[in-house]
Amino acid sequence: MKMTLYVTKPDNPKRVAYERILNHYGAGCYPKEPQERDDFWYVPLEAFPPSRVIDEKTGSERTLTFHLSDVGEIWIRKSTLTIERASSLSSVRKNISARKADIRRLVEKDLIKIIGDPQLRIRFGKMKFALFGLQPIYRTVISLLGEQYPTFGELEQMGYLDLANLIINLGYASYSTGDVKRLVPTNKLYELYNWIKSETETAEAFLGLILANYYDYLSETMRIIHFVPYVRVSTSYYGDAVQFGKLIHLSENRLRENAREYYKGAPQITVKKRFGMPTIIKELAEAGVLRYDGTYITGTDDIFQRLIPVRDQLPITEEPFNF
Amino acid sequence: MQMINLPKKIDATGYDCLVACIMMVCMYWRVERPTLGWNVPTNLGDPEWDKSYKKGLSYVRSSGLPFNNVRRLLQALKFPLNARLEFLTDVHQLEHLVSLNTPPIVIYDHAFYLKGVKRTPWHAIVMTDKTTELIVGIDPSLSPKYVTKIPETDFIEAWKITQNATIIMSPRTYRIRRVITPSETLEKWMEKSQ
Repeated sequence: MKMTLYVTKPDNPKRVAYERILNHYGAGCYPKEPQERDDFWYVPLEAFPPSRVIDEKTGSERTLTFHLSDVGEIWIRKSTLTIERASSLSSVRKNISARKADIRRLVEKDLIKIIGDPQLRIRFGKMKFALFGLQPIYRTVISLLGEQYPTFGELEQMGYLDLANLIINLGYASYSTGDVKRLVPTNKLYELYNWIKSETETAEAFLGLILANYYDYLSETMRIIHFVPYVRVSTSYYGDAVQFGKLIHLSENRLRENAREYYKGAPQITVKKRFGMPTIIKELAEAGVLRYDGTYITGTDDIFQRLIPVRDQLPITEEPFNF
Repeated sequence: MQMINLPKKIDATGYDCLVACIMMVCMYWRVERPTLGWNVPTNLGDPEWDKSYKKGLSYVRSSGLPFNNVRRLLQALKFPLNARLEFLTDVHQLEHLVSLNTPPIVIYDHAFYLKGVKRTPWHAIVMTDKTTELIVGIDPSLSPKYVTKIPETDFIEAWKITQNATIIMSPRTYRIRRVITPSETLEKWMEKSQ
């Protein structure tokens, strides 16, 4: 069989850019208007990757698109209309991942701040492995409420100094000024206790405050990463719920898949392997961050209502539509 | 012009739509040209086909499915087909392909077609027919009916955004002669963009 086809010549910068995009990157990239730069046409690229969110209980599905700018560039020589240089596929992918990570961080930060609010009474003590990493803070708060005031030397000896400083920075404790420097509670800690009326729950609420204020410092600087899997799983759920615009229902498998997809490219946490998702999800439900609806996992309305305003900051299309 | 009948439809959304289109066209050729030396069964429900489709999905990247990967996929699957990405001059070329029983995969801006907003990911459908006013195709995102009918004038606008990008898959024995014509003179393009 022989056939003749009439095809267009790559005779303008946009046409050249489109050919490059479709051949090398895929239909998710979009060229901005070519700009003149001396001997070249400069074409910045944006991407609109789709994001599918499914409510497994109702079977409803929404596909939204993220708008990610500056994910790559193409330089076209004016005289020959040939590509002088262009971003590689791997760098475009890397940039897309980085932009997605920015979005993820946005949700993550707001979520941590919300669940860290003592008013929500999240039981951080139920997240056993997270509690393990923050044990020095938990123990210190319990001991302060029990009127046992550790000396500076004792804190130093136990390796608690850095974490004790975080309690001081938040204004819940200070060092006494006597001969022996001791860590003592401030009225702020007593106020929290008087409101909650339980030492253990006050200490748990305090862990929330610490996470809300020092998540990055703890995980990135101090390398205390025990609570990271909990935050990731929670963000994976609420990230989707926020995109969808309401609380959704997911199976455990789907949530696991979401977390994997959501944190693709982020440093992997080996703890996840050791502890496993079922345990993490169960503990998050016991803590009140997530909850079970039959076999499905869903979120809590309190957290969701506080988190939903973040949706306005996400670079997603306002009106979802299916492709 | 006789309408092309795709023997099997595949349900897909997002970036997967192009893989679905490619696989549907492969299946079409498997049925139409059974003697080409295929390594997959004629039964399109066979797990081998499912495996091939899943392999196709693995070639999708976070920026979409690059056409270079489509070529790699066909090589990896050892299908006796050639694939080419062409920027056709106009809709008559599509009509011509359909009349030769070669279903073209058209890539167009679906968001522009629906809402008048230019935005990726561009969408892919397999064109199967053309009436005086409509472009008829199989759209993987429109399960269970799959058939889409787009007014030609709207389609032309939405397709123009991708510079009339089209993927043509045909048996290796097919010879395609390309006649290259100016898309638009540079002067004209510059005038427009000013």
